[in-house]
Amino acid sequence: MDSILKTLCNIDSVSGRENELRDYIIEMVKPYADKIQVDSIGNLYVLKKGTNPKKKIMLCAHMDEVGMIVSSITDDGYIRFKIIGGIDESVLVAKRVRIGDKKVLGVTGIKAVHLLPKDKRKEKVDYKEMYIDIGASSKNDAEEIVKIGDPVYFDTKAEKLGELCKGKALDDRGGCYALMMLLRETFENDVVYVFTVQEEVGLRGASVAARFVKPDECIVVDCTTCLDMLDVDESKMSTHLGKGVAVTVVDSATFVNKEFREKLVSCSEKFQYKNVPVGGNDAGAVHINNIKTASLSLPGRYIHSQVSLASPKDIENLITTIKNYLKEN
Amino acid sequence: MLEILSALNSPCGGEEHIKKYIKTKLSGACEDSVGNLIYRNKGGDKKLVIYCSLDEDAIVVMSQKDGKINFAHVGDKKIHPGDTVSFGGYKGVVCSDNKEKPTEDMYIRTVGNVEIETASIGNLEGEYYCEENVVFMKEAAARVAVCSMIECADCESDFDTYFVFGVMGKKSSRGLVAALREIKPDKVLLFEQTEKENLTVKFLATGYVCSRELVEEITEIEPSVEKEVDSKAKSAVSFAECENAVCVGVPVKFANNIRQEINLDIKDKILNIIRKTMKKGCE
Repeated sequence: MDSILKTLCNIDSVSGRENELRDYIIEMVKPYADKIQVDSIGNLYVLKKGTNPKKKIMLCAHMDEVGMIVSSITDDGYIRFKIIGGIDESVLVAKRVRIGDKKVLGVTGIKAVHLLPKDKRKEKVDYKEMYIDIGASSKNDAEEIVKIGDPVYFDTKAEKLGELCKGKALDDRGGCYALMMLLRETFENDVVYVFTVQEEVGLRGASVAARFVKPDECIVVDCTTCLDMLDVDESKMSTHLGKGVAVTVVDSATFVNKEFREKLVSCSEKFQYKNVPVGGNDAGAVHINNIKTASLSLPGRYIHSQVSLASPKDIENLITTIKNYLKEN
Repeated sequence: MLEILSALNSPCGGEEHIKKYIKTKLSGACEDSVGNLIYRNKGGDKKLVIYCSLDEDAIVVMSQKDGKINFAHVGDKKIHPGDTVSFGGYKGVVCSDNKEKPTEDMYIRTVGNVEIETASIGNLEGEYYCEENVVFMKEAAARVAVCSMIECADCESDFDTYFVFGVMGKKSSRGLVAALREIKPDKVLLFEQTEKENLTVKFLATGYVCSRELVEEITEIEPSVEKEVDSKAKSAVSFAECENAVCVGVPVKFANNIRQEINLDIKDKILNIIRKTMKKGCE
């Protein structure tokens, strides 16, 4: 697994707390950038001037990940929390987490199943009944190292898993990685690489970025659902790992411009259409600012959970597709 | 013109044909970056947008196997097994193997089991039928509004008037939002369907309250207009992001069906509203 991708996945960056990741990206892209800027909401803009620019292209990937936030501390020193972004509550039980800047380690817990009445055992898990155990014996103990409002991150190590990459938040570290690799090249047109914030809580950074950059066109680079697993009907499989970059036709937030989409497809050596029109990404916020927008995604299994998987070949394919487009257009 | 507009398929994301036709009627109309078709009548200084959406429900091919097309439906109409779908020159029928809940797990079979390219955009079929002054057609309200806007496009105007024939209306009025953010109008007049029996001005809808002055303006122009108050109703006007936005409801029957019924007597009233709004001066 590429060391930059590994580092990107290991850095904590829940929506609204993207500073650590942003600092790392700035450090890595500085040698290649013509201009670097951070706006008041936290979006990072990296301008790469073209050799003979006729238009301004925006490439966009989000820096934030889903996670949790400390909402209260019980008298016994347990941490109650709220969810940031879309997480299926059932994936939260019995997970290792890190809290705040001090990266306090904890484990998520819930009432043991054998203590529940029989009729409650099959009910869906509710995060409001969960807590994080940091090993504190009292509220005072806990308050010494954890505060209300501290972000909570999944504690996952990025590494290779067979042929695949495993890590926390490949959605959208995969996209950030792709942009960082593309930044090393110079193209004919001006390209603004935008690393947005708060995508997971409502595409907020992209909404600001679109109005600031005002590009002629925009390609949103994200990570999307991949349901090529056991017991899933093939018609419900949105994408497949290893079958190339996923091209969005329509999702809950966008109907991608057909001509633009077809141009991107023609630049791809291996692509697949996203088969299920669910989910949305920064494209939803960009295109309503009257900007021609398309969306290319990295297929990812188990996204929005503690660990996700992606194929390095798909990552390579994603980068090549965009590179070919920037060269030919 | 209405019959031609009805025959031109314009699924959300694939509105090319209808735009091409409108361009033959309004030379000088051009498309913006998201695909809205805009015709400008430069009268005065203050900007007025008159809007209606062009698109109809879309059927998007997601995947296919063994002659069964898995599709995504973009829009608000109810689809049932037996409905006909058109993908360019190819026709298909909506099917379901689920006898208990036939509107679940629907798929499409094409005539002759012809394979349709993934990501192709098709539309639901619904023939045009007219008897005296009553018409049955797809997107009846929007099409009558389009006709009216075309007829008024070159009328005298005290405003710098933008006629916006919007795309992606079925996708939370994305085209409308994009157009308004670009144009930044002083005033917006929108047309969409209503299930009421008369022409309405939408006073209250989900996420939107219209100013009393604008409501009075419309009722002054056309006294037969009814005030529509429904806090649960969705309306494109709630996406307008403009204080001076007013939505006129065009009455249709069977609003959620593929074809609606509309009485063409309404058209004169719509024309009246458009012409007088354009001439209302820069108040």
